[in-house]
Amino acid sequence: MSTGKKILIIDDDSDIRAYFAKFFRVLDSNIKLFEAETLVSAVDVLEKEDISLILLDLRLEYEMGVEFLKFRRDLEHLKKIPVVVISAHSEQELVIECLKYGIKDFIKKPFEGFEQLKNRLERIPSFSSIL
Amino acid sequence: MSKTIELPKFYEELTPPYLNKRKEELVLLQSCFDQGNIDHIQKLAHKIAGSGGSYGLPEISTLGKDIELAAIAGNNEELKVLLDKFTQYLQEIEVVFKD
Repeated sequence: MSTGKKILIIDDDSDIRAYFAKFFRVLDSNIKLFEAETLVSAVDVLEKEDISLILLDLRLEYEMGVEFLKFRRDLEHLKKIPVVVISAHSEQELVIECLKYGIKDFIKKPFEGFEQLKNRLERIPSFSSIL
Repeated sequence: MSKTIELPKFYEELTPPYLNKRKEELVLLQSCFDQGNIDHIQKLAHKIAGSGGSYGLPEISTLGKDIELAAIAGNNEELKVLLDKFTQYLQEIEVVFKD
């Protein structure tokens, strides 16, 4: 399997993780999805795996996804991995803050459907390149 | 009276277990309401708001958002109405899948 097909989702909601597991299985069975419920477990995955894309929820059970964006900003090996934020919150200030940290896209939950999400992700060059 | 919703096959392995989890969660939501644990209702409702539509059920997201907002506002009267509405929705919904 190509190392370029590993995606990490950081979300404390098991339903959203299950949704993406199915989504990527249908989209490309060579994509391997890694799941993390917390930032600590996410960092653990990132230390072990060559991740190509990170999907990040902003409101985790005990922490905020923005903390990960701040943490990532100062680490060269993490900074190069594109991040797409997935969040039920989409206030303008929050989107702008995330964009300042160099995210590739901000996708609002809930997702409209398979095709809509696929089209949205495929518009991100760093995502298209791993397919 | 059941309410039938038709969804693409993509959702076939996702939506039924999702609905079962929500039905199980009703007990927890009701128990939190009875005990005045509104913070936990807010957290659960936030997740419901973010996931329902992703599973092809936008009405669940709308109800989740309304419950979350009522919890934030501390409006127990509205919360009770919305939890009853959510219960009724889950009791009535029937999902079928098409190619």
